[in-house]
Amino acid sequence: MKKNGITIPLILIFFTAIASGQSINVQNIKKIRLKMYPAEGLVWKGQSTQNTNWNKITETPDGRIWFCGGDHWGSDGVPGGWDQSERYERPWGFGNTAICYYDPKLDKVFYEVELDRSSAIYSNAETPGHGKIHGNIASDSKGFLYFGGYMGSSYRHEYTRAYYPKSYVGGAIIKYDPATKNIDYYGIPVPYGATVGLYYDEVRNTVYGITPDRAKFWRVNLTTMELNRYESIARMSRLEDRVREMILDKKGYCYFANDIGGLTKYDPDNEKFTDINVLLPGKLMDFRASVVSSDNIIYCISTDGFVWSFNPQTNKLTDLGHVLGIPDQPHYTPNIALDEEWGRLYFLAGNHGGKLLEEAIGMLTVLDLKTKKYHWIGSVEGIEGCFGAVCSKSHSVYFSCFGNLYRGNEIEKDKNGRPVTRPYLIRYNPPRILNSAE
Amino acid sequence: MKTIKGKPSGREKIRFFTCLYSVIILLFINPAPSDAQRDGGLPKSSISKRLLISNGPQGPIQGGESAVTDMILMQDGWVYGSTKATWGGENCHLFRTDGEKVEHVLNITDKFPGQTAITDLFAGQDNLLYGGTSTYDEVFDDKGSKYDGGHLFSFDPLSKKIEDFGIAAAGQGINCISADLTRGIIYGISYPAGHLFSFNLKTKTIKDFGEIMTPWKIKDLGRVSWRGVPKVLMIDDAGTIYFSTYFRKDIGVSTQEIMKGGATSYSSNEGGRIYRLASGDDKPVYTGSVVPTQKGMDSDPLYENGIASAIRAADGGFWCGSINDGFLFKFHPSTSTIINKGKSFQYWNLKSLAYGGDGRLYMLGGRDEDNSWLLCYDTLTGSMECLGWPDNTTQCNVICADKSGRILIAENLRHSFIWVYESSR
Repeated sequence: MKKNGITIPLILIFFTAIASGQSINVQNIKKIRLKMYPAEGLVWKGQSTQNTNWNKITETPDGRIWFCGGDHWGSDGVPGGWDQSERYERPWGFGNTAICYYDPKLDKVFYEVELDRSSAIYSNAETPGHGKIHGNIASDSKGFLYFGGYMGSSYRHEYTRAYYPKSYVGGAIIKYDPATKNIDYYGIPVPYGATVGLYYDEVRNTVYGITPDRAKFWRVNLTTMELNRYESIARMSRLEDRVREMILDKKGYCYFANDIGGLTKYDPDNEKFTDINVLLPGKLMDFRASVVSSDNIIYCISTDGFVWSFNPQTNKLTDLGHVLGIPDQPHYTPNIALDEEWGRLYFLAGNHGGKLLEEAIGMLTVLDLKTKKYHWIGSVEGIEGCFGAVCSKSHSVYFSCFGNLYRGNEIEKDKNGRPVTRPYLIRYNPPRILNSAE
Repeated sequence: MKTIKGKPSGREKIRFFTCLYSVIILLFINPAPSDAQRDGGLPKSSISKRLLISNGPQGPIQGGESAVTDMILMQDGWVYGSTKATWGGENCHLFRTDGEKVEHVLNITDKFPGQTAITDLFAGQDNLLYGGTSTYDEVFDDKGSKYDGGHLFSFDPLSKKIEDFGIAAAGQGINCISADLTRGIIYGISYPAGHLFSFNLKTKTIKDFGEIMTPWKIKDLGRVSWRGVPKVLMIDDAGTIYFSTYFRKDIGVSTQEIMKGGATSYSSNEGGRIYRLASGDDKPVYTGSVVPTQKGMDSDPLYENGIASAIRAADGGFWCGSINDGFLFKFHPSTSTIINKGKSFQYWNLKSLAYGGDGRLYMLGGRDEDNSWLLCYDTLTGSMECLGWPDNTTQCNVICADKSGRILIAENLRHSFIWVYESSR
């Protein structure tokens, strides 16, 4: 017993520090190239204006994979090879996003709907529109889609300058029916605030979301059209970056990483918040992507790459180690996909915008949930970042990426001969037996 | 404090190292202010500390119990603060800070069950801390509620003794208090009923002066509350109290618009009217002074107009901050004069005032449940400046100078921080 007094805390400390001990061999990384499916739409002067994709993606019951591409034109001014003066000329304004789908039967991407028009945003250079979707494209059992808008660096206005006459109006919420093309526009829950996390609770017909900078949590009941805005509940002031994610479990409870390194739980029926007595792993103690199993186990990955699971029934948190085993490296993995049948999690490391750092690797990773073993499949060529991932019913894994676009062996270039950055979907067909992929 | 005798057991060792581990973790997650300031941040070097008030799920101040409502520097050199429960939290607390650390002092809800907020504090010359309590707005909106009413109390920081003066108004919370200790009287305003009352410390009797603000109930984004109830009571050396409230004015319907059986007049609430009640009087009277505002906004049906904060000035006047516009103005009670100094930020609700060690008047302003700006007014030069906000997600409610003259900026969130601002850095 005396030994345990010292040993247990030391184990805790080392467990947090080195996680499960699995680590990638950076000297022996295989390069792989996966087929890229660029987002369609937003063509101006015969050329795509899209250069970003920073959202979670979804599969509808018909098997289609929904993703999007944005022009990223906004207060952060990333015109993607276009001249800044273009912003006064485009008919659909300044900052826009096209929602697309990939049909696996036809192996093809189709443009579906445009976000500025859906939300009646009269965007222009001074009052920019939705330069991307940064939250989830969510779907329900009937195939309806739910999504909201985002403007890059909008927080600069959202927080400090929102009441000057010109601002981003805020993340508009849309419900879209692909079968009828009907659009229901539900307004802007937090004026001047973009949307970074968006979830739909089908039982309560309610959309939940958070804003990036002030971490304002809100909900809209789509039946009653009641809007509730809460305080900066998702705030994690230890993060230098902003909040990007919340969790919605299968019972309708929401979860947020909080300022004391734990989880705060929200009860939708009485609007009460309670802190759960757990400490999240890693230095930053947060999560950037989450997925929930059908038996209501939550899986997450943190900004610094720590993977963990949480059982809301027992309030037990399990540290599943680091996605690459090198937590101090500047990689960024804000995506997670779950294959329940095969018992796996999938990740794709990348960067938070910009060219991929060599250290970031861009590694496609599989975690076998039965053996707790990480399998590093290979470094995906071309990608710079990936924010969304989903595993389809057919076990194919889709990642919503941006980066250099390969069409066959050719890399797409702009009129000046420079490789362009494009949003696209990549598809990975994993082997049934994992070791055969390595 | 409990004394531990003998050698620690294995279980105690586990507890010790687990606590040590937690401290290491908490130190780790509570670093110095980050570099990632948005535009508008205070100079990074001017924030010397960031102190977490919440203790997390193990308490004593749990999540949802650390929203700071007031802070006062006492003679023992500690700043004493009060909290309220938010979003499902159940307890309110007294805490204290010296600008270096935060210590829990007392769980007020344990003493007064059902009270989830300490709404206001007042420090007397007797070095006692006086406070008033209340509860969630939803409780007042519940017709079946068994809430008995807000308590008046005093707390002695030296002896840690708390004295309950009882319930000020049955079923009502206490919105704000002030004290005329020369005459031994505490004044307060009930919420949401909006009655002015006094409590005589010698006779322990309560006097109700009647309604001074007709409750203005609203339900905004699903949350019920009452606007217009005075937030501040000012008191001068003569024991006269001052507050701002609304004046209901009946406006006749024009002859052409009168309908059969319809109203012949409608009422207009005109806010920001400053009233006074002299010591010994039974009825407050209008001073003729109006809180400065954009023309016409005093009767706006949506925005509240009144005094959000006040602090005694050296010349006997009161520096005040307005709700609607966030103006800084001085109210001279002897002449009922208003001098508007304007504002140096584009937002509103100048909700807290404090003199810093450098002699300047510091101000906290900003949207109600949102970002907060620190501003300052140089009383010598008459210049006003917007200094910035502490960090990109701060939502602060109150400022207070500590014994070194540093400005403590306290939040009103589930897990609130105190930011220590030093102008000299």
